[in-house]
Amino acid sequence: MSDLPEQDENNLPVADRVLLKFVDALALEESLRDVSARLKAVLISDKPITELALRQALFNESDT
Amino acid sequence: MISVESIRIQDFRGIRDLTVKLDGKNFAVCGPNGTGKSGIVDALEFGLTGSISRLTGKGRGLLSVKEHGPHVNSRGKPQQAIITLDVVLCETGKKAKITRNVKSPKAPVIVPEDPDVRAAFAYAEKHPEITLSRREIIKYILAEPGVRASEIQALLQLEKLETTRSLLLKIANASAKELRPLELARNNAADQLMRAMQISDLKVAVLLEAVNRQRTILELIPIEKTEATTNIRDGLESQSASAAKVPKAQAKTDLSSAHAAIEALRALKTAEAWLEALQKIRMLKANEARLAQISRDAMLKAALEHFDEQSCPVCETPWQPEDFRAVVAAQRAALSEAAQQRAEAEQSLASLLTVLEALPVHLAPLIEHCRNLTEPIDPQALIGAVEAVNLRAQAVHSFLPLDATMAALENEITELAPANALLEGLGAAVALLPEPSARDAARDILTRGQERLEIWRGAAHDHSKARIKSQLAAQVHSIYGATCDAALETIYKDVEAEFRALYRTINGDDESAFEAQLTPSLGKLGFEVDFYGKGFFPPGAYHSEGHQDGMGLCLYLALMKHLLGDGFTLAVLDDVLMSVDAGHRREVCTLLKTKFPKTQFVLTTHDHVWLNHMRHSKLVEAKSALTFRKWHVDHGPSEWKDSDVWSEIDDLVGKNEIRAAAAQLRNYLEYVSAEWCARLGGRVEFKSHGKYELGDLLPAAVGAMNSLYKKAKASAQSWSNQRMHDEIDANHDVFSKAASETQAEQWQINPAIHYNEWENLQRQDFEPVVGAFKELERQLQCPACGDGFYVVHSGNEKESVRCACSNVNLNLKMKPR
Repeated sequence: MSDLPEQDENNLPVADRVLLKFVDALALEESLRDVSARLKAVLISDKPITELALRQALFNESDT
Repeated sequence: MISVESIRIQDFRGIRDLTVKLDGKNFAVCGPNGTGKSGIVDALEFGLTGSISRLTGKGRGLLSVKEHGPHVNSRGKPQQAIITLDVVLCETGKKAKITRNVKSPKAPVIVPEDPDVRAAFAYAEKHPEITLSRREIIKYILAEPGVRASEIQALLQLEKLETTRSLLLKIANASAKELRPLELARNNAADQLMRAMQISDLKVAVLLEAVNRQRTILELIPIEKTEATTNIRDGLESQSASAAKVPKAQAKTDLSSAHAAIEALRALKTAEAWLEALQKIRMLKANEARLAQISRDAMLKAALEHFDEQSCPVCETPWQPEDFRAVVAAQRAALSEAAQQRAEAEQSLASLLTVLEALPVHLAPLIEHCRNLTEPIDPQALIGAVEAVNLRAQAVHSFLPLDATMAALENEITELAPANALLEGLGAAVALLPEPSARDAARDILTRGQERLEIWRGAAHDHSKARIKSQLAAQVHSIYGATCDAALETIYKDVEAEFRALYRTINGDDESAFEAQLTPSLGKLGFEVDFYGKGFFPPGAYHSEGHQDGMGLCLYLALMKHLLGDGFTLAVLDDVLMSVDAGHRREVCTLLKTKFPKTQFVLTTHDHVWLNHMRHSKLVEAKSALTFRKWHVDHGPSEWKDSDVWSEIDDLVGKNEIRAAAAQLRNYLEYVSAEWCARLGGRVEFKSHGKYELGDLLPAAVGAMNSLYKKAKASAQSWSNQRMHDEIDANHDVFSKAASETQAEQWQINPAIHYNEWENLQRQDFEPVVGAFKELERQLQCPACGDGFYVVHSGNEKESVRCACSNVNLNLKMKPR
């Protein structure tokens, strides 16, 4: 886990601000709230976005 | 984000050892071309990001940071090329230091190592766009729409959005693809179940009716409803008789469906879809090598991301950045085209594949029947046919190599003839089977039905799960597309409005109704601007270069505002506005100062007049500027520091090198006289070539100071302040004497004579000349702070003459009558 302090939302990179709008739009669908939360953790992060991470977040799959 | 307090540059680019104090304020670096200004820009960028955009990216040929970052005398010693930045974290005011060397650019030493400090430097490292040269600024304006879109997307760091978009699409496509075989398996299982139960529709009511019909024959309790675990054979185990090994009715149905499946496969060969698919694959054959590499795209993309501007991240072969990117981009473009062609061909094959894959499903139960006959039939011909068809289906499914796919489609399935013959034999054997009793037939139907019901349940469950995943992936991708496009459109609209407002600020005199249109569409970004109400045109169509420079700056600032928000605390503008005319420079200065008060601008210019505009408009303070006078390959740039200049001149005079001393003196006096004129409002006769000599500048500066003294004395008298008047008068006398000693006014008459005279002087004759000018300079500086006098304006009116510490403060305003 990073110990870097979290950024203010207004100071997030433009791409992250757009991605936040996306996860917020997902969360509007009740059935997609969990997916939204999992995708947010993958997308709004300093780690590179990978297909595996997105699949796991999307389908709630584990590493194994 | 941060502001820069000071920077120390050691053995880096054209600089040997230089420390610049910026004190977190706007700062200007001025000097002729080739005096080392850009070295400071590169050092700031390297200190913050570990890279130098001037040495990397497109058009940089054989350049690299590691090779060409160090000073030319320290080639091969990148560890000696060191940048140290003292900064302040804008939000908290905390001080921090970062030190980087060219050998390990990505491993800076940060002090203190606090999380907030590391976060601030990490943030700065991700934003090399804080450094901007004219070459970069103009590309936003004059680029092709496709190039502009990618440049602006790169500036706004939108690659993450494209990566996410393509990955979500990939997952959605893969999920849809995974669904197809599962759907096939479910449909086949349903087909088998319906045949076993002798029904034509797999509805609960129809199935229950068929089940209960058989159960009634067997005197079993009817099943009223079906659940996931319902067993249609319930109660059958208690009955003694077992099911026939080959249920005649079932076998006859299975035979009939197998014949139909073989016939469907035969019919395909003449179908239009079959011929069309074959044609597409033949056309793809020429591009097969590329097709095989489609999966390499992800690897190529990763290679680009991990490219360190020097060597291939896979094999470490040294590459020029431009060449490496061009090669990878060309490969990816070719792969993208091939991927599209493959997708189209695979779509044509989908329906054929369904028929091909169905045949083994229909033949499989017959193999079982062959083995279960009282006199078994060798099912090898059927097994051979199943294997052959499976191999072909696999080849078509794999798509590559294309030869195998074409062979699978074109060649006769020879194994079908013996299979057909075997089916005939099996049919005859089945026909000979005794007709089962009603009870035996019912038992057979329920037993086979239960087996196939379980298979169907499993297949339906797998398919349902995959369908949910596929729908989810498609829905998420669709929402992503909609929100992302809408958000980007809003961003571009906001940038457009910001750009328009900023541009109007600097061109309010003649383009106060200026309009602009940023139009995103399919990877392109159109950009058109209004030309005096005559319509919208590309920026390069009618606007002058100066206006284009202004547009570039405004678009950059608008983009940075969106990119960094409150984090836009530092921008390094490297000679970006050289084409902006003098009339608009003041507005540019005002724009930077008033619209971006929290941003520290570091500006370089080769134009001294530009520097003066920055000072007059208070964009930079008098002390927040550095003027380079010359550069030496071994020593780097040298500043116009009066103390250094006078020491150099004294040294030369001491060595009786009068010619060199005279040249140095004249050079310095031209520089400092221009400064005096700028600060005091000296009136210099305009010259279209813009080259002013000492004869133009020195008398104007002296005249301006004389005039200011007179005005100050008149002001003191108007306020009845005799003491002040006398004090000013005494200073004026001293100044006049000093000016007179330099024979300043005579320079205007024929400067060449005086200069040539200097060269021919002896040491003892030249020393008084030097002394006179030293004294004149002293008379134009504050004795306390050493800063030169300057005029403070109130509107167009001269208000006072001051110095930086306000020790000198001559009131110029008259007492109102």
